Amino acid sequence: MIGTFYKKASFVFVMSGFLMGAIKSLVSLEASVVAAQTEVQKFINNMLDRAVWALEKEQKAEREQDFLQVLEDHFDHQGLARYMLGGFYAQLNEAQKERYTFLLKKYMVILYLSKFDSYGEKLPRDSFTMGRVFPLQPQNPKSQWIAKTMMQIESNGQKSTIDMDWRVYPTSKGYKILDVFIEGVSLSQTKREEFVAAAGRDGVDAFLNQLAVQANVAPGG
Amino acid sequence: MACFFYPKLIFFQQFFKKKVSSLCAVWLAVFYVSCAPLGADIVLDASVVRQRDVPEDSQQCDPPEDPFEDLNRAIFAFNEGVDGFVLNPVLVTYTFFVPPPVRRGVQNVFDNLNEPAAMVSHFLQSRNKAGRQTLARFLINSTLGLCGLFDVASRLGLKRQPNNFNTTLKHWGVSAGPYTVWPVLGPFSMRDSFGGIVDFFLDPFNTVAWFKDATALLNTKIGMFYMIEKEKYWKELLSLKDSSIDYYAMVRSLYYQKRHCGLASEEKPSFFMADGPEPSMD
Repeated sequence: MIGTFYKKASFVFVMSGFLMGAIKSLVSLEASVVAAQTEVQKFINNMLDRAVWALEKEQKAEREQDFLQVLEDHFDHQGLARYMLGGFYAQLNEAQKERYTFLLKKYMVILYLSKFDSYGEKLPRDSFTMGRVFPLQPQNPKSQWIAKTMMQIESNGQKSTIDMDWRVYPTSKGYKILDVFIEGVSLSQTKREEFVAAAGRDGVDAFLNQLAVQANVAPGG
Repeated sequence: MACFFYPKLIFFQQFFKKKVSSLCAVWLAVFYVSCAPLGADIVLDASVVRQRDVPEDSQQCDPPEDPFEDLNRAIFAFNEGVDGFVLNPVLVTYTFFVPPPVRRGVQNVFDNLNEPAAMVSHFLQSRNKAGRQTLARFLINSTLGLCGLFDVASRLGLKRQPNNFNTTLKHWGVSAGPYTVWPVLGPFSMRDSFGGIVDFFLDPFNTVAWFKDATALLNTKIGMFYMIEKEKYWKELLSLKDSSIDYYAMVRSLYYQKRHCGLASEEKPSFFMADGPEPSMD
């Protein structure tokens, strides 16, 4: 009798362990997803604060320098550089890789600044509002995240909203941006097609020289 | 009495020593095993991140097929010339002389003429609610909105829900086909070219003008349509052109992302293509 009772009791006891474990993991998962979501929001807000602060600088050189620092701190340059040049990236030697990464950073600064300039002279911080923030893999705080932001701009007395979505992923040093979608258009995808077409047509060296021209860097720089 | 209880006491003592301690060990093991898979730290390795981040329902946005690239590039250069010498000066004059509220009204008229095509596509895609809403918008704006000059329907809470036959064909599983640049008209996929013809005849103004042989009227309307469409993007395109490495490839990419990849809902994770950059590990 004691044996049967013991079997039943031990079964219930072990199952309760399973149940408690599952409950704990669900609770901690939900908490970690919420925590990661807050972290991503903080990261994007911080980046936007610094970007707007950089845009407020009067001197062009100062703006470019500050903006470059924002990109350095928040973007995954290596990942973007590799993706944007497609198969040609593997063909670069170390010196070319170094030059390409340097030029790409400069080019990105010019690209973003001209983009923001086209939205108006002043871009107040409250132009940006945070939208939905969600992981690409549901319920996985370690997956890549999408942070949706909306930018209010005013042109010719007409107000309009531009959607800017940020693809970020967690690293040991915090979050890094992998891609920006402006009105649903991926910046890295667009640049990849351009770079691959140019490198395929004229060769990698000619492409790097062309990139140097666009990045306002002296030839050979 | 003592003889009766002593063996039982020994039994429970042994039971607590052996069974309960082993049961507790099993309980703890089960508890931690059921916690572990979700709580464990995941090593950040590129391949792991990649596998993990591909949503199961992800719709890959394939890079555009461009088998006629040389011909397309030649037509693209021709179109650039037409834009530079004809369309852009007209656009500058139009935006300079016509005030924004009037331009908004003209835009509304053209949007309203597009509503029947959007409505048909909504119904063909089984989006009946959006179809009914678009029909209501068309009827309200054509009457109360003075032939679409004023967007009264939006003020009544009926927001515009654009749709086109290209989206319907995609909904039916038709592939985009090769990328083509048409003289003057610009970039289209084969599917979009066909969809554009259907949408053209679903516009009531076009149909009436076509069957009444009112060619001059039709050409004026088409010209105005392209100018108004171009007005939405031209400043942005000009700034993008200045900073582009290969303008043709950039326009092709923008076109595909907006007209093909962008057909997915932006709220879905699958919209953010699986085929994106891979993280570099630090």
